[in-house]
Amino acid sequence: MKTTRREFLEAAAITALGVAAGCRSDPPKFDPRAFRREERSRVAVIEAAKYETDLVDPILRGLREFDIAPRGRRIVLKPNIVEFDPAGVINTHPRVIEASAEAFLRLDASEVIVAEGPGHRRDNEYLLSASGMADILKERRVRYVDLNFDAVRALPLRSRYTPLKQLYFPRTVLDADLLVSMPKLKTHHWVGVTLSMKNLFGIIPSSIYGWPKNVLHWAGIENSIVDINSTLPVSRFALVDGIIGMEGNGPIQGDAKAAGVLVMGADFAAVDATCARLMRLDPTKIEYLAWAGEFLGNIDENRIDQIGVAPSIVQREFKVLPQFDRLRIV
Amino acid sequence: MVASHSTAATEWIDRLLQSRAADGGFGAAPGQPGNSESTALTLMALRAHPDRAADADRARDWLVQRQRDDGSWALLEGAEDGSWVTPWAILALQAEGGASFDAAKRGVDWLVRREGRRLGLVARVMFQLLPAEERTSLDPQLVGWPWHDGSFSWVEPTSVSVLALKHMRGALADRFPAERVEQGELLLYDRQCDDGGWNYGNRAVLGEELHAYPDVTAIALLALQDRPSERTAKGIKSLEQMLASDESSGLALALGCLCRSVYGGDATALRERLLARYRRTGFLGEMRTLALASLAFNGAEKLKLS
Repeated sequence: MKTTRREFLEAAAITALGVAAGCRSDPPKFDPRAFRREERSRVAVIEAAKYETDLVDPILRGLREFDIAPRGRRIVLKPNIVEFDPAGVINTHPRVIEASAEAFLRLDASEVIVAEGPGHRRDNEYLLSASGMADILKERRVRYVDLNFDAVRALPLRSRYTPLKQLYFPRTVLDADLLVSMPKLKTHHWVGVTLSMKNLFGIIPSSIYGWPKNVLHWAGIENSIVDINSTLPVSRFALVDGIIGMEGNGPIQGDAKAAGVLVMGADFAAVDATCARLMRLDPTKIEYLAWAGEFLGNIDENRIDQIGVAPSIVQREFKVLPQFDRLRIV
Repeated sequence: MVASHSTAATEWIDRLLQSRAADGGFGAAPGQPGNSESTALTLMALRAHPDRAADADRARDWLVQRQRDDGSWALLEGAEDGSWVTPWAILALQAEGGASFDAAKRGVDWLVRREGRRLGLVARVMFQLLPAEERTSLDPQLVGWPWHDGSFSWVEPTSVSVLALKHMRGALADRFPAERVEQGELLLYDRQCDDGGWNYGNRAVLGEELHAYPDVTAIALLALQDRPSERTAKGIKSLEQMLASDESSGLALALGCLCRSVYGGDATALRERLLARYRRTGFLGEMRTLALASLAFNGAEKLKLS
């Protein structure tokens, strides 16, 4: 008998949870009265062919489609910076981060901060310098906060997909007027895709939970994604770098895949569902998106108003590992 | 020490002291609250400067006062659990003597009780049933030290724990936890990447090799400094190759200098690069790197096992 890693983790988690719960039936995962899902969500897909062109304009065009009013607000940009990658595929591209900072400042944000808590490496100086991000931050006088070492506050979880009772969140994120999740459009070898919801793993401080954020892995990656997103009490917006994404064995060892888009929206579930469809993957088959679609946001395409270019026009077939063939749009 | 190095070490100490947190400790970056790791490393760096004895005493007192009743240290005030910073505090305080040394011994008692999470019986059986290409390529039965209570054993906390316990060996005498230390060493060798170095603690995922990081490799080698072996030599070679690349950081260079010094090599050229790096990036204001850099210029012997 052979089993997959996914089945192994599920069985191990079920065993642990079953023992812990005395094999009683599961309580509800969330209180529906505590969450208000909008009837409809808006997601903008903006074409941007390459990093070497002006990206401020397309980002501004996208931002103006949403009621986020950056004027006078403190904006925290949370890119995905995991490993230095000369090919520029793993991380949110520095030019997208730079252009986003510029766009929010042009919209009169009082301050733009770039903040990340890399999950594998402690060495921020290396990651930021090698990627070119450090020079951009210095030139633009944008403050960077290492979320792994920020001051923290513990918050009780608002949903119960993991057995965790609380999580520590960094003060910089909690104090943000608007948190902008800026993931790369990538496939992911454990959960199918990594987008704006999964990108919030990076706000959970490794100084408490370690490198990698192993506690979240033990608690279940998909489960943790949902609990983090349900609990964070901060206004948020997603801006996905899909100019060049990653296919195959993401989030680190996959291959570059040009998609030529920036995807934006305030409903992370809707943004991620749209991104999945752009990769020709069915969001309803991606477990954590399906869970999020029950109470956090909209993943049903009939509830998403698409702005900009129609996803069907810019859809690209992203390769996935064989165990994720089942996620493909049939 | 050449004159420019002496100047830099003094400058770094001054910068650390200028950035001391309002609570008297040293934070991750200027303006951040004091944390146990930065404060422990800064204490070690300050002790290498006899004219800074009063500042060192203050850092020592901060650290001793922050010890929890169970003997551990949390990184930050407000964090509930004792944590991976405990061996750094032990390393800093074991050289202090008196009540500080007693605090270090209480820290050891906690550290010996602390274990990385083991797989349960069902999970062990399931793990054996996984196809080889779907397993992480490590031995899940080896127990080292975790970052956080209830999670797996990883390279950096295991390395610093092994190093701290080895420093306490003489004082602990027959209480020295030889089996835990040996198991920690075995875990480090188990997690060694094919290129000879170490990353956070995974050699390969889904059959694809992962590469090593210089900072973690140096920390692992500091823990293994009394274990001359082919595998340790492979680790040193890997570290040297990584440090030879243009892309580096203050953290990697500082730990690289410390490692080379502890292993008896000449760190002069690396120190020059560390200094140049500081002039270029200021280590992005990271206090831990400043303290390690200061130690790399003046105080590497504090990490060397006698």
